[in-house]
Amino acid sequence: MAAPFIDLPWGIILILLPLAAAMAAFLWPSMAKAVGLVTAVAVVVAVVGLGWQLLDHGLYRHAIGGWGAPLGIELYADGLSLLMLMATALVGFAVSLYAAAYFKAEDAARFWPLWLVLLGALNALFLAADIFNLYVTLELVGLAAVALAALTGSATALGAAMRYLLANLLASLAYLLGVALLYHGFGSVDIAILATRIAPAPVAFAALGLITTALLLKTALFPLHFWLPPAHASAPAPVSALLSALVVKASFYILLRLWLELFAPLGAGAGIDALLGLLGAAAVLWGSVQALRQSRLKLLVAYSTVAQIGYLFLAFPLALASSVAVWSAVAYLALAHALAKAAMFLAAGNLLRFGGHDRIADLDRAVQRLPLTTAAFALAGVSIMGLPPSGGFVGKWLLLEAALTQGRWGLALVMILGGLLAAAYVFKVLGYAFTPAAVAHKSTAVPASMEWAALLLALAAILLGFMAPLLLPLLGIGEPFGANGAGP
Amino acid sequence: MNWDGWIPPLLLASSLLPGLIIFTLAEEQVRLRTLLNLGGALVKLALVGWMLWGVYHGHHYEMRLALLPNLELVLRADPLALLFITLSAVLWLVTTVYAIGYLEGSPHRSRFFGFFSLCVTATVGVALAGNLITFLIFYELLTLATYPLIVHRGTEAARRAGQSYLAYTLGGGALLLLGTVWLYTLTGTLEFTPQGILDNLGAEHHPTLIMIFILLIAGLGVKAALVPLHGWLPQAMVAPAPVSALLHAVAVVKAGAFGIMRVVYDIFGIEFAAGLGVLRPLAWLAAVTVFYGSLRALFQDDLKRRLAFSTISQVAYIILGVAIVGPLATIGGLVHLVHQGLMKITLFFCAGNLAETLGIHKVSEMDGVGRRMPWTMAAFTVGVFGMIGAPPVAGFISKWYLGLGALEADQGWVLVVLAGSSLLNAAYFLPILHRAWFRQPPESWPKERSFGRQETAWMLLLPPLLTAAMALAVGLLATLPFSPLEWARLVAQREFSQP
Amino acid sequence: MNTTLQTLALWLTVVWPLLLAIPTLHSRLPWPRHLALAPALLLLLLPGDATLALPWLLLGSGFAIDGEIRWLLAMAVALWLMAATLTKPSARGTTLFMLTLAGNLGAILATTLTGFFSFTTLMGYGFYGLLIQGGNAASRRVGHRYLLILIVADLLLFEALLLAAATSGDLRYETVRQTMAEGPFAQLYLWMALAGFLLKIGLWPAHRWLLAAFRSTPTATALLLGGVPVAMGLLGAVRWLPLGEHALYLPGIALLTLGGAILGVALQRRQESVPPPAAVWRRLELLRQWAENRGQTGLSWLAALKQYKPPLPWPKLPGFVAGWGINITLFVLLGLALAWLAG
Repeated sequence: MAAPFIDLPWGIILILLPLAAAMAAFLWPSMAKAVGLVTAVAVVVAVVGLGWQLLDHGLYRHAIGGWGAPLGIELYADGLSLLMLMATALVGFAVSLYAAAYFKAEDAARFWPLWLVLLGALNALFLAADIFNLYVTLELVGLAAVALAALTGSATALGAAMRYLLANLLASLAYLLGVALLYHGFGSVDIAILATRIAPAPVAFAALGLITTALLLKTALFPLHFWLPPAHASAPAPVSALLSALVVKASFYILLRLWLELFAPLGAGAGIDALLGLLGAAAVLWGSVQALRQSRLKLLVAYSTVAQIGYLFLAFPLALASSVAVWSAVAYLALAHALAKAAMFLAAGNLLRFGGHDRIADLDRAVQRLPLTTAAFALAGVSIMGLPPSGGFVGKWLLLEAALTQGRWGLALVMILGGLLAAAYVFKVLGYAFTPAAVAHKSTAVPASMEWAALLLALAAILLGFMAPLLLPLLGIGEPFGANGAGP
Repeated sequence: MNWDGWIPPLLLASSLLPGLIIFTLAEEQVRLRTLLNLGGALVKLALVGWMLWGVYHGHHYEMRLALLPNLELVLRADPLALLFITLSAVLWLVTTVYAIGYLEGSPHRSRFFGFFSLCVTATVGVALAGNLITFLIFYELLTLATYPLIVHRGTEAARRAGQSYLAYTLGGGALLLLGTVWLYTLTGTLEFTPQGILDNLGAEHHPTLIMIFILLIAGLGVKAALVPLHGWLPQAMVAPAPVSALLHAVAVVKAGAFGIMRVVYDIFGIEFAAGLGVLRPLAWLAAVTVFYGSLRALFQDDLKRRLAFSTISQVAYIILGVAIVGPLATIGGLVHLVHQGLMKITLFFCAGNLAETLGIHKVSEMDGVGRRMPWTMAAFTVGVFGMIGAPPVAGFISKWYLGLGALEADQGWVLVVLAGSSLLNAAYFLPILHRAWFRQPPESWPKERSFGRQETAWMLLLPPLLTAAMALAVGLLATLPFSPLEWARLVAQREFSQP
Repeated sequence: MNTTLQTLALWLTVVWPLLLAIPTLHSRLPWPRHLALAPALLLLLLPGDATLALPWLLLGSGFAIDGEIRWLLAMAVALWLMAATLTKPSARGTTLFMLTLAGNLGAILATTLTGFFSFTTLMGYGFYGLLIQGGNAASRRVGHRYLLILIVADLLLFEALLLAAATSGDLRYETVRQTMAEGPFAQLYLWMALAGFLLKIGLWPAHRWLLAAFRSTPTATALLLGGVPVAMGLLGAVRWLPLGEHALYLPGIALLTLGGAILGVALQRRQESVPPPAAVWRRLELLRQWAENRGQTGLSWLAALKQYKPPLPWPKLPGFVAGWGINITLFVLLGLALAWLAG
């Protein structure tokens, strides 16, 4: 590969290109679809370019306009950022493909600008190097997400979006307060600088409490998940996919970053890691059971997100002893979940479009009539359950290994049980996909690109099961989880 | 350039690729689909033949692929793997022929044959697995690939059977996963090694190892249908006959039994496991299963259900052979893995023929069926005598070595189990023969289809005749080289430190 | 030349009837039942002893013919020829006839325990079929009883066989007889094999089915049933158990075959009920007395036997003879076995 290709400022492109494209799509609605698709592809290319750079030079830091910290805006990318960017690019590409066929004229004109803003904001978030920029991008992500959730304008969607908005605002406020406290206490918003200065003072604990709560609310960790199922279930399918796959991961990413760099010593001392683990376990069980109880497909998938988020938090109490392995597992799980859950929502959207409803018991031989979609749902389900071979399995294996090495049987059992419950709700759907419905319904044709978009993501989630030897070293670039093997 | 390492993945590909292509075929492309099916099966058979020859002459077939930190996906053809692979490759070919005949004209055949091929791929993967995690991966794949076959008919009963199947097998899979990870945290390796990998673990780990053993065996015992984990098997009978045949003879049940062998021989090491004291309870459990399956079979009127309970009982022989501890008993267990497959698949083929040709599903409807379908029932008779353990059918050889093994290991009680089980086998199988051969046939059959001068379609008739002939041959010619018995002897030699 | 021919004949004696069991084959031949015996006849006519070792067949088997076996084979062939002639050409069950025949001839010629066991099993199930194919309720009842006994007998013999294999490893008759006498399982082996063969012959307590069987079967079957199983059971006992020089017994068994066959037909002809030959407790009493006299040498039970004088039901002679025949065989076997144990 030619050197100039590598040396492009990929980080900036990743942020500015979607934002510019959003502007273009807003100004010329007739071109929106084309702009959106081109941008989605370009983002994939840019992520590949950034990955290349990281492999070549290691850690990536870029001061915009030449002003470095603590004054200017700085971009920062290590293995973790890269992984999240990859998830965003992949899911974004598939969802764009899907949305191109999904939205009709009027909705399309609203969807594309919002989605491109969201894409830019997500990229910016994963590249941000200080907690204030994180705040700004988080806010941007939240607002774009709420607007997308309200896209259809139906009463249920608006209601759900309103709840979503309120939760978001509340969380943002708390987060901002936390940032202010930190700035006040330690005189910087740059993560690296803060990391050297932070000390177990009351102000630090207050900031920790505020920021963590805010991010938990945004990530919808049990019991703060109340806003998620209605919002995710009532949004249009591509939006649900984005919300579940990427948006909740954004706030989790911030939490993870701050935890790793700033809060881990504080939090572990105060038992917050144990608390997070407990909440995670509760989320796994509660979310799964709720998913199992649903009779609507999209709600089922939404509750499954609640459960899967729980897995990410199971890692907190384990991280103290084996930081790298555990956080790698979490990153892997997050990536796998992003791909699989997006695939699931897209598949659910296909089924909804096809039958005009998403009642699980009436799926009416979907396996024969929409084979690709059902295959996508099933393959994504495999990853969600954590069955091999899939990304979910790799993540779960690493996590389980850590739990058993440390003798944390409770957590191990929760992981296993969560997998079984996931299997139960996934196969509840698949079982009904084989049987004919009591009453035949009219069906609408589903465009092939929508089926393939779902299948593509699901296949990626499965393939992830074989990619660990490739991705885990990539994830280690810049040592986001600390030096190998040594915990704090 | 040494190509030996590529043969195991090729072996997987020989059924995986046809399967994937078949998914994309339209329902009407019968000839292409048949070509792919049979072509794949023949290629697989040829590869297996090649490897049999190679392994016999000391070649080494192994493929490694990094999967996780410090863990690899290992495909390796050792003698034990080949025993199972040969069985599945041969029976896959036969079953494919049978399934093509059986499903002629029925809907969703592309889907069926696609998953059928995946199922075989997973089975071969289970056999080839060179460490526990590879085994686990294919073991779970097998669960997933079988599910669509069980619910294939799309009825409510099929859906329920599918749910029950999953509840059992995924539950078992979870236990297996837990045990595997736990083991890994202790040993840092999961490689299948003759005589085990645990020798250098001290006595302080023994209670943990016992727990791990229980987890692993419970996880595998679900598929092997050990009592009390057998509940799914009789329910899974709603599947089409070729599926039942494959499920019982080759794929699912055998994967469980094979897994138990791997765990006992190549993870724990048979002598180490015996030292832990875990094999005696396993033997008892197997004995209980032998009796339980037979007793339940006595009271089933549905032919396939009776066969299903019989499977529960027969597969427990394999476990018994493992748990008796001794070279001869090991040979008995290993060889029964193959023999039971040949005999049971014959019986299921015949049951399918009766259902397809005459609409007979129940034992009580079988009066005089031997006059209408003499060849089918002749094959059935061979299978039955094999199950009872009458010479010279394959089952006799199995029981022979199990019995000798029991005497060798000073466990005379096993002889009583064998005798009692044979008696029960006779009690639930011979009445069927009596009805079929010596009762007067009814005026008309429940749902008869005519096939001209033949008793049924040749694609339905040939497979059971072939497998019945094989069941006879492996019994009669048991002492020839490359017979299952001789191969089992080869395997057993590797597993005991002093021959 | 002669040996080649003999080897071929040894092969065909067993394989040919098995082949003819296939319906499409025998239905195209004239006189299939007689034809099935042709190789056996040939084997009888070829002079000299011959052995055919088949170590690769079923854990090691073989066939052999020598002076004594020739007697037995001759008698069997005569019997089967007679039965073949008596059977109506149109009758069903040719397949069963062939299987049973193959079982019988194979058992006579077999040189190993496994071979003998396999062929008698085949023969046993064949007889079950022959018995039951008449189709009336009585024959079915009889058939079921026979089957049950057959299965139990086979199981006992199978376990005995296992004991033998575990002890000696080589299952040729002479080796087994020698090694078992000194082996650790001698007693168990003896009792199991003995019990198995007693059941197979149709002796006490299984005699009732045998007697009842004659009444409900065609003449040909009665002929076979009277002659063959008893003879094979005795042959088995002689070969499996270290009872003495077998040369002594084989012609006797041949004669017994004939006698039994005649008896069978006679019973079948009379079509009347047969009294139980002797009460069970009577025999137990005898056994007890024998046990008291155990210290004495030899066959002291004969003395005890003399004390037992049942009323003679002259008009029912065949039944009586059958009953006594069975009794005598039982005690001969028991006595020999016990003598071996005591010695």
